[in-house]
Amino acid sequence: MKILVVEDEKNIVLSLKMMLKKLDHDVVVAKNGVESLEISRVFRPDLVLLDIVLPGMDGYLVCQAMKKEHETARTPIVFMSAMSREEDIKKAYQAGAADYIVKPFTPEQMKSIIEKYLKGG
Amino acid sequence: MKNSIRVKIITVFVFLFVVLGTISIWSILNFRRLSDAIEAIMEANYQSVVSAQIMTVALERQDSAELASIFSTGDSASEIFTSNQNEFLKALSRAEDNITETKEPAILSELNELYADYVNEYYVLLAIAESRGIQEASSYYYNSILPLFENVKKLTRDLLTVNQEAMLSKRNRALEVARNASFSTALISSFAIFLGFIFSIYLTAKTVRPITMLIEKIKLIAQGDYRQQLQEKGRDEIAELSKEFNIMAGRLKAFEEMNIQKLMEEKRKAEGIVESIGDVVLVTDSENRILVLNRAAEKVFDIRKEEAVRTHFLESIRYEEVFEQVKKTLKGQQEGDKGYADVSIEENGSTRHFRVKSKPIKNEQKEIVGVVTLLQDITKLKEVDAMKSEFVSTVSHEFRTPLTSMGMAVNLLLDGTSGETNEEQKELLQAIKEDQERLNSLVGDLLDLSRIESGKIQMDIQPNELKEIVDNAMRPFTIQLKENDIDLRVELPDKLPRVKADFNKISWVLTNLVGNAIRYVSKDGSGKITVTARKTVNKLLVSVTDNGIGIPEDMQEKIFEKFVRADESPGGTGLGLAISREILLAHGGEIWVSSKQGSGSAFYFTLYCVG
Repeated sequence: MKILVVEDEKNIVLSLKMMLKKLDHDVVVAKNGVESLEISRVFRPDLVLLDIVLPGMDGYLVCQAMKKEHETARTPIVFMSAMSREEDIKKAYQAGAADYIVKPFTPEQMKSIIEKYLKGG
Repeated sequence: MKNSIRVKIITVFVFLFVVLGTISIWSILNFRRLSDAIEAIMEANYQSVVSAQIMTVALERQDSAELASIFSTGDSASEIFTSNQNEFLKALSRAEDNITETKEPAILSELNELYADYVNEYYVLLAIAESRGIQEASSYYYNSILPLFENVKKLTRDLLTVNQEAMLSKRNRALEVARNASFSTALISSFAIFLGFIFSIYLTAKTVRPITMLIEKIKLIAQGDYRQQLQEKGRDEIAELSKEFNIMAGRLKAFEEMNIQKLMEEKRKAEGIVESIGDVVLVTDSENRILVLNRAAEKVFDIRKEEAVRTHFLESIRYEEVFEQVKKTLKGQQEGDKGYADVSIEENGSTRHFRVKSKPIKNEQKEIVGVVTLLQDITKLKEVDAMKSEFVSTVSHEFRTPLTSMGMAVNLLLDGTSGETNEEQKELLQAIKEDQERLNSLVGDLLDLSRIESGKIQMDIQPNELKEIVDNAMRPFTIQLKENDIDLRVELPDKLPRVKADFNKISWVLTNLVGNAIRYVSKDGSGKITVTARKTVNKLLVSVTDNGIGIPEDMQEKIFEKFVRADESPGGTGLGLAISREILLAHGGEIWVSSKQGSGSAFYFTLYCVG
């Protein structure tokens, strides 16, 4: 499965990428919103893991933009953020999120999310 | 004390007795005079009257005997004459012994003379009758004796008349005496009664007047006029009473003045306190009229004290939200209510936030007679709160990102994804993992607490079955309990009323309490935890009891504070009970612990029942 990780924290990217690769997924990382939109047009991910706090465009804007793009309009976008307030989560779903996991998450949580969309896809 | 009321009363009685005695003596004297008059009549005239009558009868019998002796021979007539002569003489001598009237001696001496002649004539007649015959004797009788007889008879009649007249005149005198006695007795009695009446009225009035005055003055004192004083004339009981009364009135007056002074002082103090309070203070009565307001209130509501006092609340202060709080308090509907309301008020173009708190004023009968309302300016607090919230949110976000990468990295190392690790390395990684998890929950709890404290998390208080909340709260423990040998029991009575609670928050509290209990009970099979509940007046009392290590007494209150933990055992953030307390406070409930070191703890919390 092709997974696009949009995350600017290199340490998170490090473990996440390692974990997803071990699970035999095709992982591409974008460090900001603009980059992620460019990559997604070419890469056409089956799943997007999206951080909210990003340099430049924030996660909500990225999500809205992806939903408008032909290539990614149907791609499930899973938010992963340290923000756990209800209004933050609500805003994500309004922007078109498929799921929302609060940082810090355990590898098990991440695995179960990925499995969910693997089956669905 | 000599001239006492007792003496006065006795004087009145003695006076009346004297009057009564005088009247009695006067009457007795009068009776005596009357009886003397009657006695006089009896003694002086009655005897003479009787004698005169006897003489008349005897004389007439003698006359008959005389006539008889003319026409008959024999001694019988002569005997009659003689015996009647004796009668006559006896009566005559009795009359002579009883001379009372002035005319009596003359009549009696004449009678004596004439009767002696009359008796002599009888013997002359007898001699004539014997010597000259009946004819001659009868002629002699008619010519000489009969006139004599008539004269004697007339004299006896005179005697009778004289005495009878005397009797009549004496009777008249007695009547006069009686009349005089009646008159004088009546006069003296009237006079004495009149005098006694006047004297009694005078003395009674004199005795009672001070008492009447005392009553009047006491009435005035009872009405609060302590200036009353009584005259202290004389030395009687009343004077004594007046003296004591004056002392009492004086003391009362001093006492009242002292009280008034104290009250005024207290009033000034209270006013000073109310004025100096920076918060808005409003006092309203049972009709919601403004009684007291301070300078802060004038400023915030832009009103003048002089105009606002005595007006209806809404007339002067047009803030419905504030008034709602006052109304609620007056009705006593604060149960289960958070007890305050936050309102925003525009003041000089800027918005200020106030926390409105009301407390009822109760009288001795526990009835609500008024309301004290306090408006605390929480504008600064709100700003600080917002800053704190923002700060905590930022900090936790900043914490969570590195925590995420740390957690994932440790997990990847531990599950061997990136190559095998030896036992020692695994142990170290496990330690990192545990502390990473601890930091995780600490950050989570901190965030929760800050939100509850700032009121950002709204309680979704709905009627709920306690059993459902408990069941939900126990779910996370089912696996944990199988691993650890702990006896966890839920013993809820049937038919518990529903509670007013936020399902998830109270469930969280129970999970937290049971989680704590599991941490502190023995894992060797003797550990026991019981969740139970019972109904009190209008609340449910829920308890979580364990037989764990217990909590030292000095820690029992502190454990509800932030970051306070009863011991250094692993796990737990030190925030669970602080969050639980915040949640229950937001429900209008309470949480507390009862514990004995070594034998276990019992955590209690209360929730309002529905209805």
